[in-house]
Amino acid sequence: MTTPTFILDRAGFPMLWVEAIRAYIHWYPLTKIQAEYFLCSTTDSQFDEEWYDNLLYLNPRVTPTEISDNNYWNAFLTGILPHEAQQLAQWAQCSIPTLDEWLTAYRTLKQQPELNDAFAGMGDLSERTRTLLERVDAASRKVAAHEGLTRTHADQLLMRLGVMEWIDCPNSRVRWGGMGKPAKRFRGGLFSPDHGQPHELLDPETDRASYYGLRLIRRT
Amino acid sequence: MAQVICPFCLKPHDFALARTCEICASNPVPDEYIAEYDRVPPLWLLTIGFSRHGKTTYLAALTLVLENMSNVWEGMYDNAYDQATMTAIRQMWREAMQGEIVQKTDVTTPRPLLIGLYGLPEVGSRSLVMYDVAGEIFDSINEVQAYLPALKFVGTTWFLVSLQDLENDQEGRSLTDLFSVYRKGMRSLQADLQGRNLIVVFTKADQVAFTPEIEEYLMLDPYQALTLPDATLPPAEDFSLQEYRKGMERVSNLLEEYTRQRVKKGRAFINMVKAEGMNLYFSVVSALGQSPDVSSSRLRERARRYRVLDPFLWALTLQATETTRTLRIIVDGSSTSGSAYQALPAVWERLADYGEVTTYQLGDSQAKSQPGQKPPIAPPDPPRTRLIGPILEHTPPDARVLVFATGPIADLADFASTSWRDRIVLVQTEPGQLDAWPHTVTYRAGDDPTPLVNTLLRL
Repeated sequence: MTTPTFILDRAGFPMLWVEAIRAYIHWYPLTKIQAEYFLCSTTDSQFDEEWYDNLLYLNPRVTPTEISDNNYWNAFLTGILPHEAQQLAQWAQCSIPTLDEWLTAYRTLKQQPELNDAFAGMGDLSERTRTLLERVDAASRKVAAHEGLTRTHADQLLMRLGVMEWIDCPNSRVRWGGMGKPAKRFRGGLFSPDHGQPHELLDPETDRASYYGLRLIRRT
Repeated sequence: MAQVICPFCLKPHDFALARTCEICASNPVPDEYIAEYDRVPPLWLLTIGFSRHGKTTYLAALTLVLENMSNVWEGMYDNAYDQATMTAIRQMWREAMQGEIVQKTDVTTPRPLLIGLYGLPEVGSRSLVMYDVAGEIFDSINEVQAYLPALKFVGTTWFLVSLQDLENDQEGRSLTDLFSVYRKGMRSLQADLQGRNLIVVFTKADQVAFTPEIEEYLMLDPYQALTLPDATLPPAEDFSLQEYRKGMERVSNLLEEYTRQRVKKGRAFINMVKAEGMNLYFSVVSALGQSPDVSSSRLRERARRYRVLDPFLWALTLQATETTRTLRIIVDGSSTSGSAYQALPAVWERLADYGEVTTYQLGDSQAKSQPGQKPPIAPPDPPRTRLIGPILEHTPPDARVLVFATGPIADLADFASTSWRDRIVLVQTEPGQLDAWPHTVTYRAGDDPTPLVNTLLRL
């Protein structure tokens, strides 16, 4: 197995190189901390106090040191609409993955075992970011064990047991779909990414779904 | 260019915007001082002492010695930055050559001597900003306040004291009296003494019966003949500032013990200084090497100057270990933050006396004012979410941060178990506005900012 290659995004969070899609992909779905970096950079008035308060109402914030198997999904940004996610992606100099990209990355990583000591190779993480990564990892590991899931590299990235992630489906009936599998205690459901079909919301452009977040990729 | 501290008002000023400091329009800051500020940082010196204790004579001698150090320190040279400094130095030189004693300082607002010193061994170049303040000022607490903004700013202060004159003082004044005046002055200026350096310089050493070790140290000064007209000294190629400092430290300890044992109220003085948390050092000089003729105020022989350089080298080595305080004010940028902006100007004004203050608004990672620029006066439009993480995570690890907020900050708890816990003071304008934080102060517009600023500086 080759040595994993990481870069850090504008908020100092790691992205992993996935050769199968020729792109870096965020290690976890986008966290609230990353979104807060965006909020502190943008001058777009739509991303104001009220906007963020609404999102926190749907999925409250948790401080990294308080993350546990009962709340680790609170660390991620959810409730965001697709066009807002696009703006955030643009700020991050990244893109929302297409269905093909997401599935290819998922299937590739699912064939691989978990990385050992992954955080050591991620570069110069801030104390807060490192705490979040480590505590989410420990919490999701506990939940996976509880659900009888054998963790793969894809699960280490929370492509399962994370949040539902926006994907771009440019040639589909509905432009925006979801991929991933939220933790049961966050959002129940029988959806599985292994079926290869995107999850669809009735009105994705306007309805804020509390379990919909995003993961970004940076293409070369 | 870094923000430049104006040598007259001692406030940071953005000279990229204007070449003159708006506060000191009548005192133009020399171009070279500004242009070389990054490469030739200032070395601030301030002298304090009773009148007629040899302060001005000592400064004259120091100036002369520094001017002649280029003869022994390879690559060293000096350059007066302005006409006022040049005139003052020439006057000192003339008086020294003619053996006349320098006239005591007029009681006026201090104008510093501004001298570029280049190629100093081991430390490089410095802009010497030297304030010679009339001794009478220290006889009265009111005058201290009026004349000495420099007191508050300069981290290293010299107490120049003639033990002989102190012994014969008709009013019975002592070292503790001098320190009390200084301390009262600093308190009235709301300046904290903690961590400041105090160098006690015993002047007119030729008149005092010090211990044999101290006298020997004086007499072995390798540069004593430097200012004699026909002096020829070999280059001091092996001069080591660190080694020289070891000698100064040894003598400082001897002088401290001498002060404790032999100087009137010396023990109390040492206790007072240390109780304030100041760093205390001692030095001993003889600017003339002899007493002037009483009737003519002229010297009877060419002046050899003993250990005149020591206080300067103390200041140099102490300042090398000092760092400018990095201070941040982060003010609420939300829609309900108006009261924070009313309270902000007075606090900013006070804090700017203690370091370089950069201002931010919560929820915006771009700085709103740099050191020397005034802080914002109103909330941003559109308002910002109360977020602090993206600002803190790009703030130097040695910075102290004052946060004005009128409501809970969404991500502040992320830092409660980090080193930021003891580097942030949270300021609310009404009790109960904020979530619990170890250092929280309630402050309203019109309150005295001193306790707030002191809380931050003591972190």
